[in-house]
Amino acid sequence: MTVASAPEDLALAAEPDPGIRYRRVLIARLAVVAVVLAVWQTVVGIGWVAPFWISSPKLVAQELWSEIASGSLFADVAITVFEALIAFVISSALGIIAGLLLARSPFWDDVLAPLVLALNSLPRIALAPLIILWFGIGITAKVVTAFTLVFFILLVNTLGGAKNVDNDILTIAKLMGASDRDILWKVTLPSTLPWIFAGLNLGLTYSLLGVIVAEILSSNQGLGFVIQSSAATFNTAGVFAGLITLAFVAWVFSALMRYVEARLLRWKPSMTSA
Amino acid sequence: MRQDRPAKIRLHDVGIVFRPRGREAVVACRDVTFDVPEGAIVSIVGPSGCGKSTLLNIVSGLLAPSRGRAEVDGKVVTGVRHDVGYMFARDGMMPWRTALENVEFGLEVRKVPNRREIAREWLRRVGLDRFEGHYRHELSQGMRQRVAVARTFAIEPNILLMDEPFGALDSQTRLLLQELFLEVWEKNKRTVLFVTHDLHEAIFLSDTVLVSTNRPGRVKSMIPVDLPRPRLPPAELAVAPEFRDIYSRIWADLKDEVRAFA
Repeated sequence: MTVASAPEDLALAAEPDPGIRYRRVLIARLAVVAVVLAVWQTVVGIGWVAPFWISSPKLVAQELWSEIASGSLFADVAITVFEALIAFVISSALGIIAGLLLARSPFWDDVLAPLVLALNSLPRIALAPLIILWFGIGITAKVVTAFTLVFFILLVNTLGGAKNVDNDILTIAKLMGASDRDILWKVTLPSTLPWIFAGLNLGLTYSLLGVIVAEILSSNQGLGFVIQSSAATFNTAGVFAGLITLAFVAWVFSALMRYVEARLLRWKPSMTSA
Repeated sequence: MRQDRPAKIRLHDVGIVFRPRGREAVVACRDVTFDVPEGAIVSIVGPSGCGKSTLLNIVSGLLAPSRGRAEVDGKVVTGVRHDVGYMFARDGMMPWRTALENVEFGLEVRKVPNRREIAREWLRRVGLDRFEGHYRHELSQGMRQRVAVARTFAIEPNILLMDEPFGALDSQTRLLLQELFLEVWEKNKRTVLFVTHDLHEAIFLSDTVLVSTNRPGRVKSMIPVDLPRPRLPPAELAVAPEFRDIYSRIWADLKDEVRAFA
């Protein structure tokens, strides 16, 4: 009789080292970008599509470089980011507070729920004329436009989370003598935090969206303005430069958000592995 | 004898009717009268839906009875009590707190100064001292229920209300937790009202087993469990002739009530 020894090829069946896997993902990701850029450049290079319509990676790079060199890109990014962050902070804070208040008052929740739904279903672009009329074309109008989006996202998410606190936990907390204040700070809020973060993630993106839309509609500065004015002068490279910058800003925003979330929600099963 | 001890918990003519909107009213229990003497463990066994958990909710003040009254220490229960330890089949752990912080919660809201040491000591007693920094998802079902035991005892409750606390555990873990519970209980002998489906558990833990009727739940019989304390471990106790005797008496009363459902 032979005793089975551990087969040496068992290691082959195991998952690849996470470090190696991550590197592979990174390389593949860069390859995808390189292929897209190459196709884009080739399509324009062999004359299938005129650069007037889709510009080309080379032209966009030149445009980006000149905007960076002149400092105008930085100024535009700064103003857009500033507007988006102001809107994000104000709208999130008020949205979270409103959500927690409504969760405490089923009566007002019933009264306001259909109204909130109706308001939130409104295409915000339809509000733009009114907002410009009231707040002009300065920073305030951008912040208000973003507010109309972000406030509701945080309100709805916070309310949803605060109404879904585990009943067992609430019962135990009450029986142990937790005050209303304890319940709010030590039970409702931590329990709602994952919902709030889902809202914040979305809210940050929508804050940027609201600000850009407002800038495109009426502005003389910011990334939205760059995109709009480039398009108006048929500067396709300028439009793409604006879009790429925008995508980069949005990516940085969401990366920061994920970092904060992972730190604050360490207790979540999915967070510890990330 | 036990009967001489003053009643810690007293239910008098308690009845409760639920009126779900749009459906017929349901009488969960009626004419329920019994005492739990100071320092005793009384278990309630009965068919599903006979209002066992409802009775615990009435004693804790979470629910007002439709009729009759509950008394603790001779005073009628009128609102949510803050001196009860409550455990359910679900652990009720806060997933955002570590095991230690969960045990600390009750002490924290009661502003007990040296809560960290007290919580640590309780975690040690339930055998989880090496897991104090673990979150809920990092603990097994049995460990979570150990945390619940520690959390419940840490606030030194006046009375303990247990609603099938070990009902969701596998049978081996359940035996261990029952033993642990009794071991912890022996130290200060709080008054316990314990709801369970498990007759072994009821006999192993209790001084008296209350058999409830089918819905609407009424007290069918109160069967004394005259087994010496500290009790033998559940597995050993289960083969003792006295145990078998009590078991058959309870089952004889319970059988007809359960049959209506099965």
